[in-house]
Amino acid sequence: MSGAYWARRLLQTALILFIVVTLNFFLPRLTPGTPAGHLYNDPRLSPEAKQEILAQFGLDKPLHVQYAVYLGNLLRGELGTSFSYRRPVSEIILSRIPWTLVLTLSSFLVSVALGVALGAAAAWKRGGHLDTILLSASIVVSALPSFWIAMILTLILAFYWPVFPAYGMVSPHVPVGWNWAFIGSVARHAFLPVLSMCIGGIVGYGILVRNSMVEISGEDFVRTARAKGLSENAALYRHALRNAMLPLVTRIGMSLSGLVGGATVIETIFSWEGMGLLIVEASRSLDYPLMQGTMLIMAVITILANLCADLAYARLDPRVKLK
Amino acid sequence: MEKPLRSVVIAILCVGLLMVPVGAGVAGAAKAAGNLNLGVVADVKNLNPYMGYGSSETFVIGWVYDTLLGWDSNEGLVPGLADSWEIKDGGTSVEFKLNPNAKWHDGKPVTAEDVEFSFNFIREKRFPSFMAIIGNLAGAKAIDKHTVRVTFRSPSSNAVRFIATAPSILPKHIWSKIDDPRNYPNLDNPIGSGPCAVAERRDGQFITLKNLGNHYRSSLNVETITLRVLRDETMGIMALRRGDLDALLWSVDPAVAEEIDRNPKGYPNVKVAMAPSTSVRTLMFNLRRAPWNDVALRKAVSLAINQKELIDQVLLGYGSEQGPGLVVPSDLHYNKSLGPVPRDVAKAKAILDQAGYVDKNRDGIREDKNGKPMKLEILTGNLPTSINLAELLVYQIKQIGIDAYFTPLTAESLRNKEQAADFDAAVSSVSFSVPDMMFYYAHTSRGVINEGRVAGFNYGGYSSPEYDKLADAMLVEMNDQARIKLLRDMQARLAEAYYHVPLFSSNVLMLYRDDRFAGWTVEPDSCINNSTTYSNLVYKGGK
Amino acid sequence: MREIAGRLWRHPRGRVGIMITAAVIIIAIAAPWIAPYDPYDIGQRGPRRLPPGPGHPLGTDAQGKDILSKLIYGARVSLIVGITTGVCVTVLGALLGILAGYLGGFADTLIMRICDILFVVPGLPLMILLANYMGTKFYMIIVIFTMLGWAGVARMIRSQVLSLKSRDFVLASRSVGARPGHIMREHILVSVSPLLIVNGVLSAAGVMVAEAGLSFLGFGDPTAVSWGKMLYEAQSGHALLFGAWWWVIPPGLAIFITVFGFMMFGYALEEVLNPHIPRQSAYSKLRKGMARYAGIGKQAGIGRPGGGESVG
Repeated sequence: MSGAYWARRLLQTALILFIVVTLNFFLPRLTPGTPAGHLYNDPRLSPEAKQEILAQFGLDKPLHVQYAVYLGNLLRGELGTSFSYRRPVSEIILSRIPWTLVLTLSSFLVSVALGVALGAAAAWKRGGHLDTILLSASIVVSALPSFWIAMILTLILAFYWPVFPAYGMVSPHVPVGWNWAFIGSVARHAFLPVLSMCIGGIVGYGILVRNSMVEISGEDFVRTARAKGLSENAALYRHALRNAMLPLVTRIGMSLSGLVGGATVIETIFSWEGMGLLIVEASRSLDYPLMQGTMLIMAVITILANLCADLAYARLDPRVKLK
Repeated sequence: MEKPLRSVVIAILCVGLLMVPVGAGVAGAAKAAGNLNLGVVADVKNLNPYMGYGSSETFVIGWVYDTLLGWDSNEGLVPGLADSWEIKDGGTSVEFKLNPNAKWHDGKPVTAEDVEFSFNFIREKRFPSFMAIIGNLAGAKAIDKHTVRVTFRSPSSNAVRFIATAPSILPKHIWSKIDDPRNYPNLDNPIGSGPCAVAERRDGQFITLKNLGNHYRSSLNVETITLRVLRDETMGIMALRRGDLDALLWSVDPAVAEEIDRNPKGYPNVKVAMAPSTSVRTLMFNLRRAPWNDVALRKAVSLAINQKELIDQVLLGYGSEQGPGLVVPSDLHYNKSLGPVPRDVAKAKAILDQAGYVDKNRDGIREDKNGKPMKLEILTGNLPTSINLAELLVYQIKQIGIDAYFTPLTAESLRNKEQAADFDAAVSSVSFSVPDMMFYYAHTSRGVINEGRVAGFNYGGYSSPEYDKLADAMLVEMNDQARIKLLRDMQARLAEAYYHVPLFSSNVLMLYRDDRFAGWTVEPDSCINNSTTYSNLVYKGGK
Repeated sequence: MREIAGRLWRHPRGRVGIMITAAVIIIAIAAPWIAPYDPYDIGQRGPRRLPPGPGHPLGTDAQGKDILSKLIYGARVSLIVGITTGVCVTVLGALLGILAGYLGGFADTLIMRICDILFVVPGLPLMILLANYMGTKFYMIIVIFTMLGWAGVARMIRSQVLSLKSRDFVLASRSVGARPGHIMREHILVSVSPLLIVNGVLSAAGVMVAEAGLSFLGFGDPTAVSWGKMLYEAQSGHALLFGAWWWVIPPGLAIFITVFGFMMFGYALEEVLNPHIPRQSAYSKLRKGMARYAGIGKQAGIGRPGGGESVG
């Protein structure tokens, strides 16, 4: 891991970021229609009045001037004011990200935990019952659209047997805060979304771990460990599992970028007020500042996640040399 | 190996099961006595009375703040913050006498200075939602403690109605201190003079209004009103059925109403309120484009349209046929002689034959005066109901030998094409409840093209000097009866023009429960969400 | 060719894959003859919201259209969008990947940086924007998916090409004076073609799910009958309120079966086309496969088939 490598990497990242920011600015403006359209819908507005409204939102200036203003604001850390919320974009995004994280982090943790356990258990007895079940499950599950699973789960668990709430994030009149009632309510509401999301995840991680362990169980160092007189149990746990960590971490790194934007459809189905739903709403209402802000934040998080994943990968596998 | 796995799974299951009783107990807390639970689909993001525009926002603002007057569908203007009003100086000024008992929520009295401040505030700070009226508003002046005079540059009956019923009156002692009012969300304890104050609010979830009980005019009987924000309509309906909500404040899908009407036992205590809307769905022609500038052709198309079939298929029966005057029967200025015209395919074909649009090569499609097959492109939105409507229209118009087809577009794209006058015909809608709209949708000046864009809402370019004269006179006519006569004449002219061909007028369908509250009153357009309902609502008891 | 087909047939998963894929394709082509009604014909609508029963084995939808017929016709959109996009993405990705890998230098840097940007920009909002701009007719959807999906293929091909560049047969060809275009076509392309074919099939599967997801959010082709749109109509038509499971289960099942078939076909194809690679356990291939066509689904931000949108 040479300094030169990281320097080049950072430079590339900055360039990508700049291009993303520019694209971010121009793309929404390509779409036909005017933002804040509701303000134009009054047929009594004279052309001068319309111009004045445009000016109030800074939309009357030529495009390159708007771009310069946009860049200047970004450098100051200002993401602008949302047209439809009429509040700062950063405030809106900050209030929504935690809710998405509730879903994605829970799903992530459950997937990894159960997946690793399942995969290790399956690899322990190759060809056994659990192994076959895991195999079949993985093939089936990879072909199932997650939003369909969500709809079916909602149909069963919220319509036929109303066990779980089918929408929303928390029951109203529950006092917000770190108390059991609130946490319990959120947990109840999160159950179905998280379940839909992690079915695929559990199986995916399970297969990953199982294969890694099965593949390397024949490798030299395990044989060496056995030769040393360690029990098979110890051999498996200490060496095989640890080495399965590498592909596992790689995969985790790849999934990190989805932590903030990856639950869009699920959020739509369950009316979960997270980033995903925010993005869909912003795109639908042509709320330029909000669209730009959300896309930018997601891009930044993806870039950071990739960087972290590379870092972790390099750290974990000394065989890898980053040129 | 399997032991740790099993214990992990068991642990997760236990946690999951624990959540069930915890959550279940909490849901019950929603139904406190005397609390009206209303479901809405729009979020309350901003309570600035001059910036808020979403339906939920205007609802809350309407309860927290007062306007000078109110509007009743039968009586017109009625007292609000002002007990009485008088139009003076040929319509260029209005004098309001305020109710002496009106108070702000912080105890200070409401005076004419607050009204003077509010209107001048609008003018100075140029709030975008009032931009349409700012041009005509000369100013406001407090004459004495409870009298205020508002002046206009030119007389306009609609301007009076607008400034009396639209802008909330703000407390001068609070708003004169706010630096950047256009960006001020006003979400923390807004102080108004209305019957309610904001008791509790959670972003994106709900907002609760508390009835202060000391309003000088309102007879609201309910203790609190909670607006529950629902992102998904289905879930809202399910919540209503369960009893978590007392009413839903949006117009539901006709399929839902049909289902409830078919199967009332599956929805105990749920009722469907049906009210005529004031808007008319139309097929708008572009009169600048041949052959659609031929009125005979447009008339033929109009006769080919089967409104009843459209209502049955698209609205599932929840609508009514509409006459070519484009004004709905519930409006005061409706022209009774312009009722719905029955469909007549034979007559339509005859008109086309006479006008010279004949199918010479017998391929089922008529040719126009140049010998080309007649095609009609209909622009429409891309929602399923719009597509359904367009499919039916195309089917009906093909019956008279015109090759009609439709192009679905997003709402923005559609508006774009309309503004560029780039269309043959488009599915559109008009609402002439506010009579001034008859000017803005059909006056020649509103159809002029500047720099490639239509100046106003007269996208199809209808132009008639006689209509323009009537419309100009109507705008400044202050006498109600005279104005109504002008409006009826205008409707007659529109009826002959076949510019906007009427398709139907839909019904507004709202769901409510009748077990906890009684007194729901249905009025045109607002359905149950009107001031009469809230005056009449009484809590019956029950949990 | 015949030998490959034979080996595929003997392969257990191959057989299943071929049968399912062929069945779906036949159903899509023969739709006008198989389907009991024509969902595009206004005159053939029945009573609304009927549960499954005589005359309508899967019931009718909110407008009275027969669900079974919609299911059959829906195969067309899914297959056309899926297969066409799979082909386009593979072709474009291969072209750019080979150019980048073989030519190196500026072309390589340029193409790889564009890939980086495509990987970083959130796919779904971008797709929504493009759909707003370009319209949502199904051929536009194909264009949008292709524009966002070629990056994964390009990267994969590029790394293959990099390792092939130094192989004997390529060096030999260069020493004889063959032009780069010739080498790229005759040697490189031929070598990576098995990889491309397999990737194409698996990408098609991924795209089908992504298209369903896009339609489900309401951004699909509004006039076409597609499985994703059927789920969108189920959701917005209050299927959960009416308990209309016959609106929810058939389209999802159709998506699942078709994707499953394509996947089986793809994996078997991979094993058959690459006899050099030791017969790995299918499970490890599954792992690699999921990583490969994760590109398409991830670009959509909708999640790959297999649930776990952000995780797994």
